[in-house]
Amino acid sequence: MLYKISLKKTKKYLRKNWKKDLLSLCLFALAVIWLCPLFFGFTASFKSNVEMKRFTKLQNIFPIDWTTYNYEFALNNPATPLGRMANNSFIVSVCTVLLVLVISTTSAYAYERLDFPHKEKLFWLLFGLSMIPGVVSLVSQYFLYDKLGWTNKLISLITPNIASVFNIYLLRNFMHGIPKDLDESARIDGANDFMIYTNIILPCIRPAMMVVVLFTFTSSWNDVMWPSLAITSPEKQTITAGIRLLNDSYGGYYERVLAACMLAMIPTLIVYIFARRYFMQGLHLGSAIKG
Amino acid sequence: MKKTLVMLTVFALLVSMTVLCGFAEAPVEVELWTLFTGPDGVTMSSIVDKYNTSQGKYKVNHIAIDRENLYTKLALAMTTPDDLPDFFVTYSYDSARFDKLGYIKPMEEILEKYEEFDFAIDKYHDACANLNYANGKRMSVSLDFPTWGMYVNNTLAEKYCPNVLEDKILTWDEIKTVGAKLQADGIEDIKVLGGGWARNDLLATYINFAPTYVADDGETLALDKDAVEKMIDLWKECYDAGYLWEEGDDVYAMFACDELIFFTNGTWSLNAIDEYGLDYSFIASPQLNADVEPVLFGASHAFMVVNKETSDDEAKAMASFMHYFYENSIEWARAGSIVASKITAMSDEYQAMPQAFVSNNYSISNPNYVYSQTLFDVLDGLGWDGVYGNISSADFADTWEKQTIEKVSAQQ
Amino acid sequence: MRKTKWKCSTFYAWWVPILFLLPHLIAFCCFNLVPILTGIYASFTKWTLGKTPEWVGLNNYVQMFFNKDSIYYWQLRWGMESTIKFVILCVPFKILIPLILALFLSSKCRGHKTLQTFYYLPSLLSLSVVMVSWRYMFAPSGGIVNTLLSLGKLNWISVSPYNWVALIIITVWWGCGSNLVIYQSALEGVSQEILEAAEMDGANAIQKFINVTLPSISFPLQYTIVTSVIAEFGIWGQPDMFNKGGPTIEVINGVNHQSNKMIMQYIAESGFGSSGVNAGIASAMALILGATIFIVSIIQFRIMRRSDI
Repeated sequence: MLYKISLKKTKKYLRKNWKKDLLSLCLFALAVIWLCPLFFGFTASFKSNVEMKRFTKLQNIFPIDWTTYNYEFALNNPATPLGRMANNSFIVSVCTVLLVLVISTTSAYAYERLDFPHKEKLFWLLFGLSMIPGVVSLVSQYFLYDKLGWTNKLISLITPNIASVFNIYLLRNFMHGIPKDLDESARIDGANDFMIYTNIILPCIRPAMMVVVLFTFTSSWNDVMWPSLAITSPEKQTITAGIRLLNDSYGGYYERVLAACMLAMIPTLIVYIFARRYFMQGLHLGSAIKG
Repeated sequence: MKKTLVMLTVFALLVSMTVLCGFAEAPVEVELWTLFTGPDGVTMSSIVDKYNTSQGKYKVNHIAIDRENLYTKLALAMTTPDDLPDFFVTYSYDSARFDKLGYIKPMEEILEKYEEFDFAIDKYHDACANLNYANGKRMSVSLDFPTWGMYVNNTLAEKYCPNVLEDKILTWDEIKTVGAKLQADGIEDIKVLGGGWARNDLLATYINFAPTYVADDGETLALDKDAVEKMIDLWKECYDAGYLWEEGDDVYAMFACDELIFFTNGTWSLNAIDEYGLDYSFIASPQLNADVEPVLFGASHAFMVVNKETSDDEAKAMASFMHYFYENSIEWARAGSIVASKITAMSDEYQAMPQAFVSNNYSISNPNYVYSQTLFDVLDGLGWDGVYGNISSADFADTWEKQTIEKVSAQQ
Repeated sequence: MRKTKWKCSTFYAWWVPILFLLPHLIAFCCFNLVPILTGIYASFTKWTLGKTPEWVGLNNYVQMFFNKDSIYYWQLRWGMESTIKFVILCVPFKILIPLILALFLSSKCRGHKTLQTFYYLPSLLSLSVVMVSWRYMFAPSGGIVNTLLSLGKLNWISVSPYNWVALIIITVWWGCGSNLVIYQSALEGVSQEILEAAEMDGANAIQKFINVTLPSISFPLQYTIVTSVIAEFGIWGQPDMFNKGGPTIEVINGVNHQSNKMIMQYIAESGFGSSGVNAGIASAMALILGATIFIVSIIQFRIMRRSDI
């Protein structure tokens, strides 16, 4: 009897696993197609300018003459000090992420867990105002930073992105899933709101926070429009905005842009791999999740 | 005793160094914004570096900004003089608009401060006499002329149309004959002409039909709609007959792979096309008539001085750099451009360059319209639509005119 | 229940929320609200950059809504039309594809971590890499897509509807990583006990998904739907670098209607760009877009709340 059950289980397990392996095979096959454009971009960054223009067909996906010239050009071009720019990007992105974390978690806690008059109205007002596309305010934003004397300074790249309402909205949604019994019992034990926020809510929403970290870092790192308006000196430029300067105004040197972009992608990849460990933990609240 | 002596010596050294440093003047710094990014930016930076090391009095700080952004940044910075450069490089056709908006000031104010060099207009390429003046004042000093011409695959041309290479002028009639001949011979994978950029190709054809698109005041658009229709119909006729590339073809790849005999493109592609390893020459873009001397459509990169308070030293610094650039344009020419400096244009090295033929023989035209950029942008938006048959030539003319007029009125 | 508690502890209740809200409110008012308000003011002016804005009242709006001779009337109409069409076509894929991928990956099949990285990778890229790579993929003559699928010289760039297909593929490819991450994170939290209990009750995979998984991830789902719609309303970079708005499909009153030119492209064209600009028109157009997005979001919330979630 006992033997029978375990055999059944093993069989079932095997059958299940067989399906899973097939699934993973399919997903890998799909991933090959999925990454095709990126792969093409990668190989193209090793092509010379002539090859880039001349051989655009499938059979030429691999360069005939592999050249690292594009990387050398990107790294040694005095007009685009990429190392310096990467450093700037790093400062900007990290500061943005840290400020966003503080600002949006506290605020999400207030909207989700605290009561105050016109709570929802306030939230939707801010949310509505954020719907106006950013490009419009770019010009007025420039004049604002100019008045503050912040143009051409890194701080002008940090502050516009810290007050995003979408992050609050995301954290709010995740916080909503944390059972209220947890804070109620803590409150009975004498905890105040600040303690509940740090000891209960923050640890629980860590996965969501990591999602916010990832999104904020990537978008801050990849922003082009605002940095190229606010910053003039290449020494203070961020890397993604600076990379544009590798191309000429007729757009004839995209292979160099690609090479620099491949390098510029690495930090975001590292942040992703670091963040993944956390957001893959999920909410871990089990049955407590409320719909 | 020894100790005191050493200390005294050190002290004396320190004092003398401070004094010396105090006397050695810091160079006058001026900021230059250019639209030269990529390889051009590298060349420009190297010229600036050489200038800075060639003397110790002035220092130019070169900042390359991509073209689209440069315009916005200039406009934004105008309200706050601290952010402004001292001088900048854009296209000379911008100078009339910038002057109207009060962005720039007349060149003479700067040039007269630097008596060491004579900036007389006849020391520059003939086109400068027209392009460097706006609203009756000299507003800019040209560096070079990015000009729309045509690259010829000499090997193919010799095989299929040797007569074109003789007079170095390709007429539209010749395009049709060569195209018809190719088709009659059953050669399908070689086309006669590839167009590199709709805007410039169409404008180059337009000035064949009509001399200008602007009224005498420089501000009123006087687009000859009849000429526009003719220009579209001409291109469309050849396109429909199959003499040109097909929609969606990569013309650069076609020219590089010996599939195009002629390829219209600008002087700025000289170095890139040189690397294709073809036997090529650079001549005028297709003409209506071989008997008339071709007029090429071109613009000019030019220095302009920002309208803000400039000290005499700063003025001298700018003029001195422009002078240096005038005398040392050859490096700029090597980067593939028709230079404005006559002294460089006459050098042997320049005469051996592919662009020399065009700059020696043909004149460059760019009607002085205050809102040229708007006109070009609208045309860019229409692109090959007329040639591919997405809209009729009459609609094309209407659309081009109407949108330009309305966009101009929105910024007046 | 919380209401009563608020009353009990009025002693500190009024300043606690303020304390928690303050960092965001200060940052928002200083760095977001001021530019937005200036933008609203600008929409009532004629503002050529470099000059002082000139008050024109409702003129910009009147032109856009009622003056059929104005190019801006058609730009607003056509831009909105293309954008809404794009949102409707693109968002379902941006939701479904990552959701399906996340469900597959959550089965913890072999190599799921690597796979997740692969599928997320495009989202780390900046616009220029994405567009340069895809331009080569979709090159009509000899491009990779056409060669692999032996489609001959199919013109993905300037023939409708292929340009739309291409744009949607690019946008989904680029943007679905962020939704994937959110779904995976949410799926990790779905209770295994309930899933097993449902299995005991004889529920099949689809029933389990509808009855257990979906309700558990409803809030992340709601978030992704709303943000995806908002993001796609702002589409701009992809069509701008792909084909500058695509081929002209009709001409009315001397204005050409480009197949896939989005409202944001028109806004950027009037507000920035190399030729002279009119920030007033651009601001007015952007405010109309903002209002549209807001209304659409409100409708979404209403529907989703009703169907509750």
